[in-house]
Amino acid sequence: MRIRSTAKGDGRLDYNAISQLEHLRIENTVKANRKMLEELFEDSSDIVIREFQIEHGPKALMFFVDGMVTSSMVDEAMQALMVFEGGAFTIDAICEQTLPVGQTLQVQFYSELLVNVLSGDCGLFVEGGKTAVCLGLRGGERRSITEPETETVVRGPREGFNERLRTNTALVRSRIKSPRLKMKPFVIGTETNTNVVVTYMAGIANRKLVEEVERRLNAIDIDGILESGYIEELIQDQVMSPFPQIQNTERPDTVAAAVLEGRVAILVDGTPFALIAPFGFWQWLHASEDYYERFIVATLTRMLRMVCLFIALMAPAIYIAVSTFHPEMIPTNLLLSIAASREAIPFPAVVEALIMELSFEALREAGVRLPKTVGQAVSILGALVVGQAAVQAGIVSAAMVIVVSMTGIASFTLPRYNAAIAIRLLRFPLMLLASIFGLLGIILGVVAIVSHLSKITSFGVPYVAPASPISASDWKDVIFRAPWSKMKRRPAYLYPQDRTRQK
Amino acid sequence: MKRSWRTGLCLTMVMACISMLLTGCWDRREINDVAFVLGSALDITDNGDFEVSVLIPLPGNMGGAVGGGGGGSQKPFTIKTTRGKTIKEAIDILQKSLPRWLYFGHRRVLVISDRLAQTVGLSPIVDAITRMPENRLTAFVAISKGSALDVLNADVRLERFSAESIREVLQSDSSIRVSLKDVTSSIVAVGEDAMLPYLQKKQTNLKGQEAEDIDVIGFALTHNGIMKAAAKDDASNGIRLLSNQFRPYRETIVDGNHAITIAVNTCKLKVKSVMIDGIARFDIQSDIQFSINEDSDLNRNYNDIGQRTHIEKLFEQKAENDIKKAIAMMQKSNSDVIGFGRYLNRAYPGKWKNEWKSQWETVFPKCDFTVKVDADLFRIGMNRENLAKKDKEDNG
Repeated sequence: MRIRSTAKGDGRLDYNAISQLEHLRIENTVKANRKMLEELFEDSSDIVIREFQIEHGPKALMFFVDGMVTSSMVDEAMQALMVFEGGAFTIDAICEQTLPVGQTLQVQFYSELLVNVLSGDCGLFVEGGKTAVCLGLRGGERRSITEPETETVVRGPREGFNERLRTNTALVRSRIKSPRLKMKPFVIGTETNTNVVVTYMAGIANRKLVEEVERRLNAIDIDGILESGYIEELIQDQVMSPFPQIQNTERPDTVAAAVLEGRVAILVDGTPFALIAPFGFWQWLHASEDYYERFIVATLTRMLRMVCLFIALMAPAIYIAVSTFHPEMIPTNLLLSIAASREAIPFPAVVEALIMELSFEALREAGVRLPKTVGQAVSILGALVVGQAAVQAGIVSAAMVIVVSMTGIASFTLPRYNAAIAIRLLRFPLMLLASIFGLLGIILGVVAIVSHLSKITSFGVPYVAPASPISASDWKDVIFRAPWSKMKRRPAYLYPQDRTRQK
Repeated sequence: MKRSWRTGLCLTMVMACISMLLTGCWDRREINDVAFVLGSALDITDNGDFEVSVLIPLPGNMGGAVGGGGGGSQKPFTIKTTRGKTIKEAIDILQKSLPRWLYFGHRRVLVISDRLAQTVGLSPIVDAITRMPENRLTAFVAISKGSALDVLNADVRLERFSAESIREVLQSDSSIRVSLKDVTSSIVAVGEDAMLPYLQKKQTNLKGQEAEDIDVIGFALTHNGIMKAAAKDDASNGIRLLSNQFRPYRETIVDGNHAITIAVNTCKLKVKSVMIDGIARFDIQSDIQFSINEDSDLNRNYNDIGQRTHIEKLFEQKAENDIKKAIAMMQKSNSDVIGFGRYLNRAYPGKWKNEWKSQWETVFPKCDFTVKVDADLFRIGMNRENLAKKDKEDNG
């Protein structure tokens, strides 16, 4: 590959991505290397290039990104070199005898060197050496490990991932202390060179699944990965679907549990959200706490979530359908109180429902985006406007307020936020169908949703497995959560290499 | 022509938009545009027309979440009444003058005047009701003494609507639950006739407390859908004891100078049908459990088993008479409301099918009956003796 342009005649470096520099060798002399670095990092004030003399030895050059290394450790390494006494002055000898650094890596080409240094390593050239050394002195300011905000638990570990990949891998590794836990590295994004780690249990996860994940990751060609959502959308099975086909989580224990079941997790540098695949409908109802609480409680909680899922999806639609098409279905006394509360309402039920649902969704969205200090004002406004004032002004009926708030509460019970927003979205078409066709419309809508759910897959695993295709032994951990003593096998629908969990 | 998903999406969008315009056709009806009929009354006029009355709640006067209630000045319902040659015609005439759509899906009681039941009978009513899917067959039916409209228009105080009051009374222990479905099925069946609760309006004339209530005074016995007799008092108790859905009732029996109020709690009925010389005979055996609710004889010693059997005998005698009265009334009016024909059908299917079924009307009044009541005083209340009695023994 031609790197230096000849067309322009100025001999400047001409490349689109670091990967194109993979044949650019490290130069022999410090001077040449310095020239190369200065050319590469022209106008980059955060790059520190420091030339110095190894005591009684050759010239050397260190360069690193300011703020991404631990300065004290860089100072220590330099001190060791500058008061170096005796011995050979080759790069190998320096690595072996002199440098007080845990991680060193000798590289021959610029591409590798640059990726490592830009990720926080410290690069070292020594006069006469054909290789450069990357010193693992990564550091700098990062968010500490805090409780995950999106998945809180009453009982369970409080550690959550942060934006640093190595911290995250360490959090997983500290839970699974086994050499069988693999952490395959990938670098994705031609400009961002984001470090991505695919983690799975060798001997448990299906090999084809791991290969498929790797194949899809390798196929990604994009300039940047800023969040795991990029990867999720790039590698999912079906794009045209409201349903998430890859799970995301902030919890290391969730990742560990998934990996032990035979799933594959993808950790991405720069985001606390790890991806887990395959993901299916039933995982919508599963929270990590289900496995920590007593199994009876966990089972009941899952059933509650199932009921809430239906309420969140259909409650307003059923209200519209039943009150405008099938009033005979409502018990007489309830019907009379609904009629009394609706007596002065100027809108048809569907318009009323849309007004309320839209303002509720708007409130929720406002609550998420606004700074926390303003959030309180929003909730006061919401309680007043959507709640009382609308009823007192005779714009919506009290019954509708109850339906909408029930729907809202029900949608909050789903532990997977990305699934809950899909349900929130699907509520609106169902409401329209209910207003046009009544219960018939709701049934049509639900049939469409269910057939879509049965059609989609996540990394080849049917989305509603193990309900369809049915595998009875996996039903211990779908709606029910069997006690741990009874769950002796891993889920069959994931086709793990080894199904035995307990003997 | 190749269709991409874009074309599909466009088509769906267009269809969705067009179908929005359809809203308002079909059977969509906002609650605000519907008049829910909670109860209706059927009378017959002198020239043979039907008079149909409906009770419609007024949501505006019911005091919903807003406004804080009607305050009792205005009734929360209205009653409309019209006449027509058929029931449906009357309803259609009524509909023309109403701004809201009459909706019968919530009708819970149907009151029929005894005059209508005695002349035209229940059959045209059953026809008018079963033709419309909207009508609930689980609605309770009752016959009223005098005008049905009067009963429906009773000024009840304990419930919001008189229809509600009638319904509650009809499903309480003071009546036997009879729904439209029961009436229809027993009119259709041979060897069984329909029996309906017989209602009367009762007035309270206390000053400042003027009110009206609905009272179940007995049961109307029909034959082929036409009301033939009304079983009241003793005969109605007999009907209760014979009925296959026994409901507990209270009764006061007289023992010399004293009166004892008893509660009849359970009744196990055994009907055995035998054929002797080609004539059907029914052996009725009734096992009753009853308890004492009040006894005016303060000195009765309940520890004495003789006293207990004495009361049991008294009640057995009374119950036997009641049942015999009821049977006599049924045979006289030729209305087999208990369904003795069905008992016979079960015991002698062949004979029933070939002979009795076709002439049950002439056979039934000639049948023989034997009645045996076995009463058991199983509970005498919380105290064994009357606490108001002077303590004669000095226990101190």
